[in-house]
Amino acid sequence: MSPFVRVAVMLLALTAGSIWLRPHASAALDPGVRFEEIATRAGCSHLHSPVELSPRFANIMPWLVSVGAAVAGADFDGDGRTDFYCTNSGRGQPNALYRNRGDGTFEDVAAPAGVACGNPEGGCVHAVFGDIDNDGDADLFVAKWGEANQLFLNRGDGTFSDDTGRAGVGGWGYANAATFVDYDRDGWLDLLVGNYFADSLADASTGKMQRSNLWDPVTTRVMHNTFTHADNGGRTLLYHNLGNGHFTDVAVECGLLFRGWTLAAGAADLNNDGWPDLYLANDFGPDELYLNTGATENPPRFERVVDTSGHPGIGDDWWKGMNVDFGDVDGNGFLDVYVTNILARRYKTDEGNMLWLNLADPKGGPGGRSFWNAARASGADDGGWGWGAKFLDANNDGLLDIFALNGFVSGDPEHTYWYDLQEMVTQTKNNAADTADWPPMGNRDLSGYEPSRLFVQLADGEDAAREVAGEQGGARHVPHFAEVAAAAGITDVLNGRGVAVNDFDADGALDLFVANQSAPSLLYHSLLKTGGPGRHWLGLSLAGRPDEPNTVDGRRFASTASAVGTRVEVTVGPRCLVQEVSGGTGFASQSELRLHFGLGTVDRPERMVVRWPSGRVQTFEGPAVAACVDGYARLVEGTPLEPGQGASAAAKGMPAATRGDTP
Amino acid sequence: MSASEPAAEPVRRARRRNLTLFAAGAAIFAVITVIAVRRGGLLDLPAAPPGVTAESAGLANLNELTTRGRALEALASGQRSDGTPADSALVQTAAGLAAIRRDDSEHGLAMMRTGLGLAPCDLVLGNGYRMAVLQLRRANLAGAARRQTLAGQMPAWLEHEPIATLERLHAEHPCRETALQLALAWVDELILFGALEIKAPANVESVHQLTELLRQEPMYVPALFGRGLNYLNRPARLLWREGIKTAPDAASHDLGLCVAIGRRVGGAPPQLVATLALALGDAFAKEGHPERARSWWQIAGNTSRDPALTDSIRRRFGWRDDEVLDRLETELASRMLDLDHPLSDLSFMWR
Repeated sequence: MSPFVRVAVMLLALTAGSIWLRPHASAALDPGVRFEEIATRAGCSHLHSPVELSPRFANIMPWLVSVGAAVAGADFDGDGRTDFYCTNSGRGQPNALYRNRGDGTFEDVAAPAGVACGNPEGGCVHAVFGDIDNDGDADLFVAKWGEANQLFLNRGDGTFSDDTGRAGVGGWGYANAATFVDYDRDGWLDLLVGNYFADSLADASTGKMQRSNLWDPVTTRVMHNTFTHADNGGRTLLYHNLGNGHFTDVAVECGLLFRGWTLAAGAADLNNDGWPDLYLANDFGPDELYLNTGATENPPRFERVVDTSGHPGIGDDWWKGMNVDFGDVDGNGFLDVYVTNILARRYKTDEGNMLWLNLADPKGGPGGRSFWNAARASGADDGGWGWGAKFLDANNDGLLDIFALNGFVSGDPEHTYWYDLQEMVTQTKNNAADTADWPPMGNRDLSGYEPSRLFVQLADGEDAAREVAGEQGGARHVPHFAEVAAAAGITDVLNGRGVAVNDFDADGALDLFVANQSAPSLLYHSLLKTGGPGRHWLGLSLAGRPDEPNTVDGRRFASTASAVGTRVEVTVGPRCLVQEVSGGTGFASQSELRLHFGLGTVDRPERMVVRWPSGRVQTFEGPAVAACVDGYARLVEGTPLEPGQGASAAAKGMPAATRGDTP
Repeated sequence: MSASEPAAEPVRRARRRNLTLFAAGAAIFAVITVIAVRRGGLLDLPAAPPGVTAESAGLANLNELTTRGRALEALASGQRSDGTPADSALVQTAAGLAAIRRDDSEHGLAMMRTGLGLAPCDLVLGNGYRMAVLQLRRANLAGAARRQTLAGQMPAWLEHEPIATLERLHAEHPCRETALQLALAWVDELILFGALEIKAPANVESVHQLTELLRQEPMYVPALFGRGLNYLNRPARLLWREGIKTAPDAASHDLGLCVAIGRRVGGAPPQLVATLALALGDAFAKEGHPERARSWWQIAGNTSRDPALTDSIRRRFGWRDDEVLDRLETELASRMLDLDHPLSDLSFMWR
């Protein structure tokens, strides 16, 4: 063979090899969905204003006031359409309640509805809807910094009454996270609240504990005691709903003792034992995963997951958890966990978001589960400085995608705070807990102007057999994502915080309501043409029957009216799609209660199994399920499916005959 | 140099060749062994206890059990039995079973109870009673589900069966067979009701009773098998203090002992041996030893050509190491849902 031929063959082989090895160019990928931003046109552009703390914190004020924009989606007025509640954190600035008019537009009715708040002392930072009195309409909990949290009871006529005092949930502190969960399955929604800053601090001179008021501080030592193992954050509260309008805090009795810097909370059954487990995403320290012992203990408590090496949390989680969401992304029947984190490769911070695949634990760990971070292997790790994120099937192809918000502080892009931050973190002479030790932030930028991420799961991910080596050896099968936000029309660079996944126009294509920090909210309307080949879907509106408890082995269980915790499994060919009704999961976010399954090419799912918290299981097969495709069905516990009734006023709660039992 | 020296050279050469061949063979054997162990794992079977007999193992009269099982079925189906003299217990129990099949369930169950009372330690009749109750309770639950009622309904005469009857029977006639039936009645409960809140205490109760029985009859294979299955079918994902008390290899210990005793006393039909081997493989898989599990699944496959068993083994060989535990849990859960062939049905011993 002549040298020329040899060189030619080598070049050919190298070229072919590089083509074969080169990863997919996601920019060229068709996302399968497009969005248009319509908030202003639709009348739901809500300008968020941040809290304004004491001037003593002026050197890092942009950091301290970087959260507070939240959005919660729910049908508060019972017309079958999703409405939105947006927080405002500045003094005197009202929250907004956008009522869905049904014609693609919204009107702000917060003031007449009695839920504008206005922040007379502190600032609203989060809100979640939940039907706490089982009367079939959504009540509202508003979490605040520096002001008592508030619980508003829905009167059923479009207005709310402040029921905080009677309910006993007006804790004062720095609540950043809240979710409704019926942790003991008694048919009444309980409330989990996670706080960020500690609510009280020791006076430097006297050592006496006193309220930590960031508007009038006694000290500047208000920050986390370390950047990686902080345990001086706010308390976790678990308000047990007694069913008579009153709540009592049972966090200590239930084992929720850690004082992390909680940014987000979520509840879902992670070990498939029928009992909701809790996840708290914490800043500056380990996240907390608590498994519910209800299957074998009465009353239930929570057991904190700590691995055999003493490592708390779900795994090696890098200590900066900003968000949590649950979805069975790999189709193994167990809910996986998505936690946002920080990735800024330019500044040598390459941690990234975490996609914890929920796997069996052959070592017999707590709950028999182990979690393996597949984010990098699957292509869903680069979320920038991440905040709220949600699983959703954006293109109705039957595979769960991920929408992730990001961006911390947008300042002068020519001057970054990253170097100052890194120097402070690495210098032992500095004390992270004292804001006075922090270098002035000024107008410096810190991971601002970041575009949101839409990670679309690739259909060929399964065929491509993405086997990667796990930490303990052995191949692992992971899903495969491509980032397509820009191609899908999501192009803003605002600092997103909360996102409510919803279908406000009930067309079967999921839309995104985004709350931005110190900026207007956005409504990304999906332009997906649903119902066609490859884009089938199935929506489900569920209502439990708390008035019909179920006795299991002498224990009385019931579902809540809003069916929170109900698990639905839809069998589509060889796959089983699993979702759970959530009482508001993740950072500054609550998606609508309705479930949405993308079905792809399948227009006749074989089976639907509904597992109610009462312990009842309903199975529907064949035509009963097929009739629900490409529409929202309604299901009241113990009754047949009602195709087409899940997006109407009739979808609200329980049958009328059983309503009105408010204590 | 002697005259014999030239002749010795070829002999030495032949010896060297033989030695080389032997060494090569040994090396190949060693390599194959290492590969086999790596691929298949060690069998890890416990030693059978000394002094074990077919009688102490409960495997002495399998042929008699087979005959009695056939006679019960024949009489209940209105056929003539094969000439084996039918005692009144058998006749009464068969008549009850026939009545149940005619939808005269309450009366039929009462007749079966009477029959069982005449021979309380009869393994076949006791099993027949339990299975009849299981199917009746199953039918009631299925009916309630079909009617989309919010609460499962059970008639009063079935509400506390078979546990109430078997508790009374065991109190009046304590023998290893009544103890076994009572322990398995708790397994029937966890088969019928999917809720972990029922499964967990039923499992604990069954294990306690079987442990008590094994304290008195440590080599009784049906009890060992029952307890091993209880351990095996405990959901790995369950969070309970009871689990902490149990040795991680409890299932493989009990099931391995069953296999070891079965091998020692011999005489077990292939289907029974294969069932034990499959269960032992499952136990190893659940304990995080998929290679060892595959060895036992292979042994099960080699022992019996039963199509259902072959299918289940084929499925198991399709599982990757990282998913084997979840897939096994799903497989065990679906096996438990197969109420046409209940997991607690002892008739596999004599079929």
